[in-house]
Amino acid sequence: MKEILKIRSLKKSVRRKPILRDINLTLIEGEILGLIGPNGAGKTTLLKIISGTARATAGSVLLTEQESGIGILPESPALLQGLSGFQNLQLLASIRRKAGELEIKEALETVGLDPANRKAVGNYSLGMKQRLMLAQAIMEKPKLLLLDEPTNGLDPLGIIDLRQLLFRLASQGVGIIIASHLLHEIELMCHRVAIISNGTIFREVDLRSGEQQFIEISVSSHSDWNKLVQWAGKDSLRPLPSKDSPRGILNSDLPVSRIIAELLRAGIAIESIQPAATNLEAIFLECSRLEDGVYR
Amino acid sequence: MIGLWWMETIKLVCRKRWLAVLPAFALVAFLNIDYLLSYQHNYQLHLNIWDGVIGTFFNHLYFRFVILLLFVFLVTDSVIGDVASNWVWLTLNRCSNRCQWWTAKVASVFTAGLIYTLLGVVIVLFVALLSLPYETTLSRFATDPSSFFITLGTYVIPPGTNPFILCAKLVLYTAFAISIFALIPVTLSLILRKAYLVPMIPFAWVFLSHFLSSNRIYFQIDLIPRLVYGGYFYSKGVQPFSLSISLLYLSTVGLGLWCLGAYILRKIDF
Repeated sequence: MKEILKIRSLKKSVRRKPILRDINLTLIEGEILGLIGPNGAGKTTLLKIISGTARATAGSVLLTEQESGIGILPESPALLQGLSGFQNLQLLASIRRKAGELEIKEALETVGLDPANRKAVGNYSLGMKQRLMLAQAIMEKPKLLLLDEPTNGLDPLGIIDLRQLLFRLASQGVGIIIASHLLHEIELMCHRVAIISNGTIFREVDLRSGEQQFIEISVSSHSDWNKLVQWAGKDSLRPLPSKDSPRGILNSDLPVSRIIAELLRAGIAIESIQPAATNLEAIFLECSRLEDGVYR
Repeated sequence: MIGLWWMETIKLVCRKRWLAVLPAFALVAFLNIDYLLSYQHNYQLHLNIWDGVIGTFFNHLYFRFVILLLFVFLVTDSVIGDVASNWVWLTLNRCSNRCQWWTAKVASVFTAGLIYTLLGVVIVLFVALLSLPYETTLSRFATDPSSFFITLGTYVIPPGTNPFILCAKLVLYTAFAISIFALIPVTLSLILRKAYLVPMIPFAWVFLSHFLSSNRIYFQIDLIPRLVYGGYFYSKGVQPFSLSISLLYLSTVGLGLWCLGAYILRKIDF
């Protein structure tokens, strides 16, 4: 597969404060990459640097399909409120002149909007505005899509439509980067996830491979918890906030039956053991610090 | 480039705040015509609608505090609004370079200036038509005010001047001049990005310029007195400014602002 985006040693500082420290990232054709991280981690800054709206302090961003342009969906809908959706897209398309009336109509229909709707965008619902923004991002058929919180304002059906649309675009070879806080949506939409924390890519996870598993374990007492930590090793066990029995997420490649057998052999009293609800949440928690029962 | 310029102009002009143009110009036209009518009554003058236009656009007070400041208010958030709404992300990404984006922004301010002045002249003509007769020539009051033995005749327009050509020149010059002035806050907003702070600069300047106009040196170097087209028809002794020097001055300022904006754009993030 051809690489469409290559980021090497990217750094960004604002007034000497580092925003991005050393970002290395590659995106291949047809891949959907999720960017997750806490607020202020640098996700939007990274998207802005890729799109050229912000400048990097050091490092390089290489776009192999520069001519086809980049489709962008900003976090909040940026539209001219007095014009219709079609007119908004026409104005934006007039800059590059790559999309004609036909392509605009096609893009509007793709996102589930009526091209003949003459209603001013100011009267659109938030979900409709978000769909319109998505239409402007795809109307010029870019090879790279940058989506910042794309599910903002979308109803459940809209989110499902978006997911299907992204899979369709990916199957046509479009590379997509999605920055979002919604771990579950990222997990459903993306092939790969990069977790950004403190301006660095803390970890990359390939969601297509099922090699690692995350298991939520709760034990009877603190002494059992200490034994569990000793058994699993500090790096493989992340504590979760709990009122009653101590609990945590275990990262292991052993089958659950063997884990249970080994824990019993080690004399650890297990209260409950189950696969963690979302793997991504478990991974994401690894990037965070637990302070006074609250993740920061 | 043309598409971008067109888009920027539509975005700048098709806004509700432009509705303020109608009452603002109607108000200054009414004030000016009311003033002229009192003279017409006292001195038995024969005035026509062109006196309404000349009196409104040539008056320094109306020009500075209404016409100029309103235009600044209408266009000054051209960059700040784009940044706040993320629109800049959509447009800049579609441009081949940042300089192209800035050139389209500057061109859109000039186009907005032209539309604004044209609208203003039409509104003033309409208001003037309500109380003054329509004629195809300028009145004697406009071309030979001294014959009326009144102090009002400070603007002398050469006899035989075609009012339509005069009006066209007035529109073009005023549009150019107010656009140059409005470019100052627009360029500053590339760095300042404070919606409340940026318009304060031209507002403060207009007030300062008004109160320092008696200072000869300041008056000569100040940009604002040169923005009024009527300044070149001043009859009091020596003409303070020459039109060609002012045009050169304004063009230099405009070019300087474009260069400054293009330079700033190479350094900043949106």
